[in-house]
Amino acid sequence: MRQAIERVYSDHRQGLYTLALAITRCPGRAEDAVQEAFARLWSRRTGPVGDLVPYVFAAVRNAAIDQVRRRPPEVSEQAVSIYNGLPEDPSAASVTAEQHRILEAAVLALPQDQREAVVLKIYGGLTFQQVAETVDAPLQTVASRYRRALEQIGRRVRPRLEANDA
Amino acid sequence: MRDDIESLLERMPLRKPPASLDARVLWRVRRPRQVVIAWAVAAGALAAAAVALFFAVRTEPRAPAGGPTAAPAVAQADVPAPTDGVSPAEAAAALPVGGAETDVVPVQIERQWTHLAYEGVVAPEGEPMAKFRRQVVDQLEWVDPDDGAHMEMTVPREDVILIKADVY
Repeated sequence: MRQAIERVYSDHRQGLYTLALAITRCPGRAEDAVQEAFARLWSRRTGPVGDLVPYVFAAVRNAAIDQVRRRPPEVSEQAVSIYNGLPEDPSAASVTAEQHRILEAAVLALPQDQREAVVLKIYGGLTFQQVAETVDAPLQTVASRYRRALEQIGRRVRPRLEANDA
Repeated sequence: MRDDIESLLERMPLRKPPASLDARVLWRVRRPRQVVIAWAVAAGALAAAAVALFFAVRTEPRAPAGGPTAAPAVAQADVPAPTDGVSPAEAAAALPVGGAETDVVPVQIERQWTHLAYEGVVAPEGEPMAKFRRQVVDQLEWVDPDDGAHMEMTVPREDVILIKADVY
């Protein structure tokens, strides 16, 4: 069990941290949530019957939600994005500064459930089945949330990117 | 359209988890599981065993006593209010009742705190908690009003108390 948990952590640490950060919007709390989730997992005597990956993601998600419930963010507290700033060297960046700014705003504007679907699918690398197990929702529901999220991002991003290109 | 948005999102640079996260998570996972000893249960089992032993000895055949058989007047002594765990009422209720042969009366149940030690801040569930170790001695006395048979029992126990603490 311990080795399996360690393997999930090492394979998915970026996705787990990004999920926690997307919920808490605070790096410190995201870190606390991930640690707390693994503490809870390790204290349980039995693991899941099926796939361990969504089980771990669900534990991190629950711990992050608990963090926010226990200590709601203060008004003065600035929400932190899941995205890093661009490197100083523009040639090293995978997206332009404009794309970065627009996409970041579009993802931040998504409803929580859609943002979670995007984070879990794209940054967690999970299948729809695993996303559904993580958020405890039907497969069709999470697929639909993901599709709507991409459509919403596309509606916000595409005209502005096309205007910038022109 | 969907694919190009997915592709753009995949290329966005993510905020990296801090290096300290690895240490925190792996330390937690590699640490042996804590074994929680239910001290109250152990003390209860010990008390039950002692009471059972007491009645096993008491029910052995005895020669008829030549002296008076009237039970001495026994009243329940002042009982200090317990702070937690087994209350005097619960302790009395735990004793077997029914036949005249097994009727006993608790005469004193006293609880003494022998030691309360602060052991610093721990994080068993990832949340800071102040840890206290409390050692308590329960002294119980019973008497059988039928023949004045008397039993005393001392049950030491140890509790670990965790109190949520805000540590910054």
